Amino acid sequence: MDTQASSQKATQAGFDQEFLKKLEYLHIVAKKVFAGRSRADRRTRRAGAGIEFADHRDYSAGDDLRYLDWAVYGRMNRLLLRQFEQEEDLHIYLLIDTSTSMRLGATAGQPLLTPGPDGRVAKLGYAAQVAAALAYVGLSNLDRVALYSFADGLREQLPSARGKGRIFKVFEFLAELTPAGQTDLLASVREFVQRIKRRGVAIVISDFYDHAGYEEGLNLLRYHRFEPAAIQIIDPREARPTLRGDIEIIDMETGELRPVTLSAALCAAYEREHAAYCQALCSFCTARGVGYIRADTDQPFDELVLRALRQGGFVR
Amino acid sequence: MTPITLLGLPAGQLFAVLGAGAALLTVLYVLKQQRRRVEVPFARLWQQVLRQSDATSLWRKLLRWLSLLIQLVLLALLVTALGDPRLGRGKAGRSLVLLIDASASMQAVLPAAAGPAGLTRLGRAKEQARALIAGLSGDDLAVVVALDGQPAPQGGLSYDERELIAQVDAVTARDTPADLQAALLLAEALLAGRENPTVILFSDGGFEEGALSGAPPGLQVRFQPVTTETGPAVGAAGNAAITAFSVRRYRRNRLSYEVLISLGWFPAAGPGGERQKVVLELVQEGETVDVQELELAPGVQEERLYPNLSGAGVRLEARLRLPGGAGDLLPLDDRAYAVLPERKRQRVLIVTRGNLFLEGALLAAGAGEENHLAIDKVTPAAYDAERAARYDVVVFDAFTPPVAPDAHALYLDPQRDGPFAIETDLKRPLITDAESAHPVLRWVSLGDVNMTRSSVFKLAPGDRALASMLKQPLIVAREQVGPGGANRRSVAVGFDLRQSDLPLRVAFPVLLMNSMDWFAGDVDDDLGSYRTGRTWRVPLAAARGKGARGGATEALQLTQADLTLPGGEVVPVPVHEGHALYYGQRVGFYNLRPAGLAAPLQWAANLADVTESTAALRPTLRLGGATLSPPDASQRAIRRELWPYLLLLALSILALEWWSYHRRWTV
Repeated sequence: MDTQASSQKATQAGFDQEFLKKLEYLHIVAKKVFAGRSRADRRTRRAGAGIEFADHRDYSAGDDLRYLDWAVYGRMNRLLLRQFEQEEDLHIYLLIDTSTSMRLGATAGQPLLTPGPDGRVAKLGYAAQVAAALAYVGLSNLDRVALYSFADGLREQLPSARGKGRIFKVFEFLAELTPAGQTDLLASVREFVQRIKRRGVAIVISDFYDHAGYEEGLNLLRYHRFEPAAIQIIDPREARPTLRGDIEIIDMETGELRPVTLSAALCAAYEREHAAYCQALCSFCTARGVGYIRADTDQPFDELVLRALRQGGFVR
Repeated sequence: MTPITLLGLPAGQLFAVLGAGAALLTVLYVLKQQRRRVEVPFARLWQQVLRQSDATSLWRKLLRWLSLLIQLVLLALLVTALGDPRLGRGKAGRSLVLLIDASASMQAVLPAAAGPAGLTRLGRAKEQARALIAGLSGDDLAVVVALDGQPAPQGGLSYDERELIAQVDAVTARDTPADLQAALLLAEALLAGRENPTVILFSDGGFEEGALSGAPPGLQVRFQPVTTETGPAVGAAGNAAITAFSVRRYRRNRLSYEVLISLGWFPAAGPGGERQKVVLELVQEGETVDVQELELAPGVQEERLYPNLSGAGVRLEARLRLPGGAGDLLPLDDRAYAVLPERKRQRVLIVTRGNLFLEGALLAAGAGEENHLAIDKVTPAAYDAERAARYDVVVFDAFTPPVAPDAHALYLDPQRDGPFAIETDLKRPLITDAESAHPVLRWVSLGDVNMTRSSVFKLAPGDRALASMLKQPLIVAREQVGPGGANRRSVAVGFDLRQSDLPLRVAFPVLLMNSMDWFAGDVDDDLGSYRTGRTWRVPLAAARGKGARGGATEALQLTQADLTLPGGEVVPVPVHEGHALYYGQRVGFYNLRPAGLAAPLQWAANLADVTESTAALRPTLRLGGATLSPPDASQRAIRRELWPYLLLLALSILALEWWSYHRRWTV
């Protein structure tokens, strides 16, 4: 019954059978693309019950005596404990920005996935589609996938789960996302790292419009040994504005007003400024080994996911 | 410096509009403009861009005020244009009356060599006027006046070339003589108080000598003759014309008519030359009844009489042509028209004890079986009012009934207690005053009439004293509504014929005939035809015929009637005191149908003007003894209207602003 209700909600939100078919297609394509190097498991250096030797460490009282390397003790008279690589599931954390700026392109009263008159979905809807696709691929690979929404802090979460059957829970979670609040990536990540002890891939899906800056937030993920990746959602209308004349711009998140007379020259300057901002994010990520993908909402989301998969750093 | 005048809105209104508009514009600029709000996801990026833009904020503020300034300038230009400013007149500017001759002679066709086929003198004069208007200087103010029998301006004084050309186009030819003196007086009135008043006369110069006596003082008159490129235009060999076409009744038999036709041959080259053969046709109701070939001496009018014509309402037309189908200068006067007026027999009752003077005079006036008067006689004792009402006229001789009969009446020596009140008696009076203009006294001389005694009448309302001695009426005419509702006329003579020498004078039968005609409503002026160029006063009573009761009364009550012109156009004409009034401008047959009256009234109109028929084409003209000089050629100046330039300037500013906006200079 639970699954049925989730499926119904998801369908209403736009995650219908058609969408599911696309995800399945993505999964099959991903398998072909990454055949031979893609496995459902992932080794960690955690000493555990694995069978493949990894390293030695000094024995301390209480250690399992079965793992003492008696041969080394015979040669070197030191008590060393054999360690094995322990196989464990990959944890994928999808952090979805639900700040007000992600509302751009939304049609009032319509589900997020419903395209507007221009055929594009809202940024948050697009982010949800990407998140759903990545989650599906992850779940299909038997990885553990968890979803978090954030704005000025962590908001909703879908705890880690595995198996394709959980995808409808993912859909339901995504369908209930609503944009609100101001972006504070650092506070959100801080809350995330405090809450999550299992390290894994942390994919941040956001427009990265953070007045305090996105750098600290991404760095915090790195410092806590997560493998962060950034998917920047951009609506072409915000990248290349076509407005002209005397207007008053209002910041969607802060409500700040600014009168401005828009001319083609001013719009071109803004376009350059926006491109520089995106480029700065890209450079920041590249320099620190953080995966970065720019996602324009006029680009089909499945193409984007495939690109992300090919580029690596997101899902293996 | 040339002053500027406003012909549109006055300056006060302009300043009010400008002030209100400027205030509104300024308020709109000063008030904080409500801008459209647009949500952006990340205003920080915009702020960085605008930070650079803010460096030019001073320029932007200046642009804002510059924009307001441009709006105010545009407003000022438009408001000034509303005032229709004109460059004022310099001292060299003339005030012109372009007098275009539209009289009958201007309908003469110019020879083919002088221009397009069928080009009339008027057409050429209008061409010349247009050319002169095109050459007027910027300071010249002009108006076009059509010179015909009733000169009238075709519009107002104007600097505008198009307006003046339209006035020229509105000039149409009339079948009337030209009244040059009236036109010059009109021009003087139009140009009174204006700089350099000048009249330019476009004409063939065909005016009577009397009209060329002089121009009003201070008025400069120039003459532009109708010329061809090679000099004065020369048309056909001359003009054959019917200069008069008159109908008159015989004095003895008022039921018959004779027609007089006057013909003339006017060579184009002036007096002299050979005699000209012409063919004259008389057409009655479309049937040619007479054709004569005549030879006319140049410049001499010859007359032809057609006697013993009869038939009321018959249309007569005289046609004159040159043999061999040759055309003459002016076809207009080659035809003349007349209508034989209606006249019925009058039944007259004489109430007398016996008066040979009276009976003899009536016999001389047309009594008899074949003539128009049918006379019966009774004694006063046998007088019966009912019988009298069956007659058209009752003549009372030394007898007065207590009540006037329901007929026209002539009272000879009326008694007291009759219809005419008697104030006193005069012994051996002399007639000192006579109203000879009254139809009853036409051609009647009463100056030395002797009488033994005469009654002095007391005038009642509607009475007119025809003859009196020192304001004491001795002969009175009365017009009043009779017992039957019809208009009744009566004449009272205060003395007995037998005690006067009046019956021995020629005046007596004439007085009797005039009285009978007046009773019948006939006036012999322009019988059957009128002359164009005059205001006609057509009696409507004739439309019912004589003896028809009530006709005159109904005519007196009318205020308007429909007149069918020779071209078939129907126009309403005013009716005053039983007479239709109309200024005749076209030759031909006219048909008047007064509302409520059964029979239409017909008459004809002819040019009948020797001066016009002469169709003289003068290269020069002398006015007041001085030869008129041709008009000056003027240089064309800039348009005097400024509003098109103001609008052009406003449009240019708008275009410049639009261009700079799209070049992003002012954004």
